[in-house]
Amino acid sequence: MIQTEHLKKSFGKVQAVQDVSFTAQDGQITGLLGPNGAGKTTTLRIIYTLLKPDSGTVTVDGIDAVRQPLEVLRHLGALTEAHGLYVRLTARENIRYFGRLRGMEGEALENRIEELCKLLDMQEFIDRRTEGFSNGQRVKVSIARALLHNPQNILLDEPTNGLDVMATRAMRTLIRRLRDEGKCVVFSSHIMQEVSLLCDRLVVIAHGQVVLNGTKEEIRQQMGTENLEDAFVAAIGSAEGLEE
Amino acid sequence: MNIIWIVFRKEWVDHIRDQRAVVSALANGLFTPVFMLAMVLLLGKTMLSFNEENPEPLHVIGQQYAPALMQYLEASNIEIVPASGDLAEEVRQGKVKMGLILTEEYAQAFREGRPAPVQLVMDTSRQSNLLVMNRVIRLIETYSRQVTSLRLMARGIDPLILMPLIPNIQDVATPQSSALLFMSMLPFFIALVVFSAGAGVIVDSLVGERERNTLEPLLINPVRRSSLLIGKVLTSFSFAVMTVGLSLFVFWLGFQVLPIEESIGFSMTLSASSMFFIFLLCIPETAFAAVLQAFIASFARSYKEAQTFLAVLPFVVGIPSVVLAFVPNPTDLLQVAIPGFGHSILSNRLLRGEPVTSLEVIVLLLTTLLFTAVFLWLAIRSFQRERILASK
Ligand SMILES: Nc1ncnc2c1ncn2[C@@H]1O[C@H](COP(=O)(O)OP(=O)(O)OP(=O)(O)O)[C@@H](O)[C@H]1O
Ligand SMILES: [Mg+2]
Repeated sequence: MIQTEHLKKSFGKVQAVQDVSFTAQDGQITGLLGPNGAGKTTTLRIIYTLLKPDSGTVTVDGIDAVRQPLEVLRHLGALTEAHGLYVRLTARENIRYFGRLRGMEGEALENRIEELCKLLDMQEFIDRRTEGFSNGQRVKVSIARALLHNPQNILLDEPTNGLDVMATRAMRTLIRRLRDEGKCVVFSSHIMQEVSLLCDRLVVIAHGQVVLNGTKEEIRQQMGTENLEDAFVAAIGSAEGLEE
Repeated sequence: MNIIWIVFRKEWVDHIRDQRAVVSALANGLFTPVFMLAMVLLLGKTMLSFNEENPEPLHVIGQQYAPALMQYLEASNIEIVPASGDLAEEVRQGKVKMGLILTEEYAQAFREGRPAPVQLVMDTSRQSNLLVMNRVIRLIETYSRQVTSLRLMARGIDPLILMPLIPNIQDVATPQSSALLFMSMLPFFIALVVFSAGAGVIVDSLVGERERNTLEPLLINPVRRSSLLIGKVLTSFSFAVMTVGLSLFVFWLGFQVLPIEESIGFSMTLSASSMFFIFLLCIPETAFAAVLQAFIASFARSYKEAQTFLAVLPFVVGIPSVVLAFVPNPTDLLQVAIPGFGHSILSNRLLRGEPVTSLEVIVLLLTTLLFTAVFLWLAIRSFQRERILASK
């Protein structure tokens, strides 16, 4: 479970996150929806401890992210916005390196890599050096890297960005599967259809602030609109950046 | 410790596979000794051309007036070239190194036992001719002294009366120390290798990690940043130590294999043990270089910027060492204690075959370790900044 309260973060004069509070429960998919520059990535970075909030608190499974960052990192896995890989290592070596850094080794590690390789359909390229990998292949390796230690909390920053239709469907299936295993999944997106399709809970962010927060049903009622799309537009003030 | 080892291993594999970078780093390490050896050989050749075995031409007008003097000069390896015309003008223009003018008056005065005029034409502003000029003057003086002795003896006087003092010059410059004039540039070149060998590796592993977007995923692992940084620095350090070792080895090997002695005309020993000791001294210096490079690279905004910073570093550190080739070697413990500079002082002395005290080695070792620790701490602090993720 992830809880954030009144997060604030600015970079110089840019107020990237002004007031973000939400709770992501275990066994649920929580979607962070917002247009470009809304503060989604910044919020996720605060949760996975790479940024310290100017104020506000984050807890992951009850552990404070500012005070015990390493402990928080042990409880989560994250897919970052950019999917960088070590180009002179094979995909398997990339994943193995991160597994070792997380204290995994030997047979257990190799078996887990094999398992993820099948799950993400990576057999074809897992033993190739990652130089020149396609975007989809890089996303898969990055996801494998993030799920390696079977974390309870999973943060995904725009996981379907740049994926083709098949890969997007596979990704959605994977996200649902993680939810069904009882994980706490948070993913960000600027695509409304995707969020409304997948999420149990929505957190809409605009200009660094949470403007809507609740289940789909709650949001429709709250805004008094017929469908979700109208609710979003009403909340954000424009439809910009929300279309596919 | 375990994490450091994991990072170290991964970084090594990663860099070894970057063949172009490895080859260019090794080529850099090899360039220095090859350049030094070429310089030794070339300078040796130039020095040989000054050797007295080659006859020097002397342009003479009126050689018929002084056959005995001409014979004496020729016996002393001076080539007498008959000259005519405006000798002074030709010397001024540099066509002729040196001229000698004899007149009939010379023959007459010589016969009558009066001082005989000998006119030497030379241009003392031409440095390159200085050797010949000195030699001819010295020869004429010696000839003059011989004639004096003969004349005194003819009058029944002991010629030694004209020599109340006999200067007896003892030249303490061993053949080695004159060769070491250019050898003393070696510490500077060693400093260049020490402070540049690991640069490529550390830039790739710090700035490259960020530019390829692997830094953020890496930092999401629950490990201390200090361990990550130390693993990376150890990689560049060990790579640099190997390059420095290779560089010194090639230099030493060149001295064993190449005809250095033939080419410079005297023997010059470069013992394996002093070379090895220099290498040992280089190890802590390389550690200092590695943390300094990591610290500097952590502030670079881009790959290019990091490379530029680190390309300047060896010269900034090495320049004081150049001075060592031209000043007496410092023995002040305070100067020896400066990392980089102190290493150059001590290796300079080892090359000259001069003593190095264990106190000096210990003091230098301690200050180097202290500086290494301080800069490692600073580099870790810098690596822990939030902004390490952003390229600006
Ligand atoms: N390191 C940084 N330095 C300066 N400004 C930053 C930094 N990171 C983010 N910002 C700014 O903060 C704001 C929020 O950025 P953020 O990346 O969180 O948006 P986002 O919601 O993820 O957008 P996108 O959908 O485009 O990924 C933007 O205006 C961005 O320019
Ligand atoms: Mg983003």
